[in-house]
Amino acid sequence: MQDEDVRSGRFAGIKKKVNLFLITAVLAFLGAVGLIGYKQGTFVRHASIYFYAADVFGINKGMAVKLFGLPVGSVKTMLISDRGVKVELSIVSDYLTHVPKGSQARLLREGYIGAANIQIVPGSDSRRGTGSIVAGDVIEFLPNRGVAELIDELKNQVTPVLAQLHQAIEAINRPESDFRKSAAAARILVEQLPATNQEARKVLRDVDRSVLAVTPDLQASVGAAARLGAQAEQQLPAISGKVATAFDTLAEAAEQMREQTRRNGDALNETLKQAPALVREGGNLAREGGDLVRDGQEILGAARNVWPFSSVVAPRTMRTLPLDSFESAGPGRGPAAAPR
Amino acid sequence: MSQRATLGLFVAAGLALLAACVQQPGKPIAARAAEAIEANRRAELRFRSGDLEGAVQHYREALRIAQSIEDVEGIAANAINLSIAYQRLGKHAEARASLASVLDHSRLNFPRARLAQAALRRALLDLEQGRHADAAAWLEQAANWCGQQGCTLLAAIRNAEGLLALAEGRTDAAAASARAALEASRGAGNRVEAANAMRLLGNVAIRAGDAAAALAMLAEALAIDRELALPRKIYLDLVGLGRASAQGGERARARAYYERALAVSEADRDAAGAAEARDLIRGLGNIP
Repeated sequence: MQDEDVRSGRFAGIKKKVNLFLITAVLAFLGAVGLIGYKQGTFVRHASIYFYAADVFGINKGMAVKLFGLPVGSVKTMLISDRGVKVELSIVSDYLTHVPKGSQARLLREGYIGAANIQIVPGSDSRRGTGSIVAGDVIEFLPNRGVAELIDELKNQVTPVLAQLHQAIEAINRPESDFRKSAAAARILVEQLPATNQEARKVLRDVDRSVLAVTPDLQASVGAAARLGAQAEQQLPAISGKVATAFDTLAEAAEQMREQTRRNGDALNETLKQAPALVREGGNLAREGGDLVRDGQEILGAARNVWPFSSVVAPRTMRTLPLDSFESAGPGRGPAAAPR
Repeated sequence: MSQRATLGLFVAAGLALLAACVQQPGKPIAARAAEAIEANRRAELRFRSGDLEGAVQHYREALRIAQSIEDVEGIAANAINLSIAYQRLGKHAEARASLASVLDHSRLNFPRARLAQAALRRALLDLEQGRHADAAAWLEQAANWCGQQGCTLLAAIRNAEGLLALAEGRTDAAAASARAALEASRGAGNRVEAANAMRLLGNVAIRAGDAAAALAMLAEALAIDRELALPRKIYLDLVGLGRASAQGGERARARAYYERALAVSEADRDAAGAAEARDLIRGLGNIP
């Protein structure tokens, strides 16, 4: 009996307390909802503008829309239409006045794995319109190419160049190639130069001796000719000496040239020996680059299938081009063209 | 009791909020199938940018991968896409061969809708090459696979039948097919085929010598095609309008249409279209 009195004393007014607690909790919950709504911009007036895209890879509902880097709205809806995919952008009405007519939208990604957003690029072409856009306007969408495609294109362009370089080096390396034949012929020619020089000097010495032998006979027979002969006798050794000196210089130059050519040939040989290895390394690098890209694509592909990314990435499906009954119609394209 | 009910309501509201955030994870795609989809996507990007050779290369890759895993949807989609790319390149034999993987001697069970699409593509190839009998047979086959109820391809099939009838000089049959196509396209909300049907009706009217009716139909087709931003169709509409105007004796107006067609074809880098438009302008001669 005493216990019951104590218990009723302890729980006196408990209903009030519980009700107060619940009301406070409900009010706090509603306040939190209101605060989140305020933060999400629920109480801000929005206006819709649209663009049409051939596809919306990378664009998702709720994606931020930015103007001059500031968030001004979000992607609201995406619907398939006759002109592609119609994307509705919900923009804070106050910002619409800052978007001139002729502005364009484009998908911008902050880095390769960074968050993507829609950027509004204000139109710079004054001919396209004056004033700012209004709710319901359609702006142009600038599609951009992905990194994978850029790398793919780069690979397509570099591969034939490397192949041609490889072929050229192989052609140079072949023993029967024109280049190797020319180099061998040039080397033989340079090697023969000293011998030719010696031959020339010998011929000159013979000529000198013959002239000296003939001079006395000429003095006896013709006086005038003797004077000339004497002059020639005096001058010829000097000329011969000069010519010999010139040929010596030429021989030295030829020797230096031969030495230089030999060094160049050795260097070229070394380079040609190393070139295939370099080309192979280049090819390996290109292959490794391709593997890296494929690995990256696999990682991204796998990430797409994992929650929570799977819920924000549109499912990928095989696409068919639109079938058109007038596909055969056109200038000079058979009976489907307009009748004449 | 009322406190318990309030508490229950509170918990239920919380659970409902949580449940609203839950989303069923999608079915993961096998690596090989994902490769085929990736190739298909790359091919489409190249096709839309006008790189038809590149599109063919990637569609062939996508088709090969789809065949390696017996993915009937993938095989059909890429074979049809490949036939369109080849046709635009003027390679009709290759276009026909690409459709053979779906239509000829296939042991795979393709869906009837896919078979109807492939048959229509085959008929359009035959129509362009003047094989009218073959085109008629494939169109009949396409209509058979398509069925009547809810077939999205019906409008295109009826338009193709109309084009075939017009090519054979059967203007009444062409007009009937175009009207059927118009009805089907409106039912399916297919504006491209609706414009095609109106263009066909305009061409039939030109053949019948009714310039006023032709102008009305072609103007409607032009309005839709401009809205859909389809340059090749706009060109055809303008040429048709020019012919109808010339037929009605309005040579100055016809010249204006042809000049617009010339501007469209030049901007679209369509050399054949530009040449044809120049011929048509020359054909009008000097206008006083």
